[in-house]
Amino acid sequence: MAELTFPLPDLGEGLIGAKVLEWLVAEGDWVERNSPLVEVETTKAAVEIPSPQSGRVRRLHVPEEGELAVGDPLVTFTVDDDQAGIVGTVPAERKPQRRVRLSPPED
Amino acid sequence: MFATAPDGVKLFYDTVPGPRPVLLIHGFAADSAATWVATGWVRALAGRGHMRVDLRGHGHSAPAASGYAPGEQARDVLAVLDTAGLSTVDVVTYSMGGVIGWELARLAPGRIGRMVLGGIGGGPVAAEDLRRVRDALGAAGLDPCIEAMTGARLVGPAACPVLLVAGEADEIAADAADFAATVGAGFVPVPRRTHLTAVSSRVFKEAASAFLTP
Repeated sequence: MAELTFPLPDLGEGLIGAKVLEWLVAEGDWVERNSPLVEVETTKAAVEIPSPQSGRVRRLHVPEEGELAVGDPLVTFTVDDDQAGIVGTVPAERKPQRRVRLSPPED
Repeated sequence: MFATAPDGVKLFYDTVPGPRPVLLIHGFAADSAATWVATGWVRALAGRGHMRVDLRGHGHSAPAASGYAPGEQARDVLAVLDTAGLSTVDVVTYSMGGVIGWELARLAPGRIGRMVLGGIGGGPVAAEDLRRVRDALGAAGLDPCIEAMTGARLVGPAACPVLLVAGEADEIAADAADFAATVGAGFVPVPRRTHLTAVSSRVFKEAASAFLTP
């Protein structure tokens, strides 16, 4: 097992930081990729950040009402070893590839 | 995608089909992406389907010099529903979007199932609140919208079953609980949240999910 840490992502519009409104997971929870992770508040908006990773939540780096800058550590997951080594990046969106059988199975 | 308002203004909308689609109407000086996508609402409604629309002068919709009165904007939204081929929907609104949703339910009662109004009470829309929201969001223009919306309010009775939700620290919707009682609607407070921050809350989403057509 390995640890994988994700920073607060760039929220656009030149915003440089955010305040944690509410964590939607707890340390020790298993969370699926793209399910709700945390709500943050910027100067202009409230934003729900989905989980960038499936894994077990190891550490929430900022308490509720706490502030952090873009790039500061947000959350650390415990993941299988083969998923480590991509610290600080969000996996690219990829459509799931479906295998299609071209000939009918033999009875 | 774009629909055309009765006066020709192009209105942006995006829709994901589903068994119980929810029409999402954003508030003043915001847009549907910031209000419903970035906040996680679209994710939360994945099993139902949804349609989000940018009101005239907002988001990707075309600016317009007029046509911002509640009844006119309700007809805008109706035109978008027609274009998208949605016969009946539930509705979730935020802030000023509630005035438009309320008018929509009166205009086309057979097409609206249940409605959840966030961040709004029963008091008349105040121009100073609209200007404050506009400045906070860094938006510009929209003076014709401010003019047409000032003084607008939710006038009972409700044309469909309604639930109100508002942040406990939302000054713009401070009378939401009292107003809900006068029209026989339910009310769900969101602890500690303001007008800016109640929209993304899990409390709001769960209240809506429990109230909308099962």
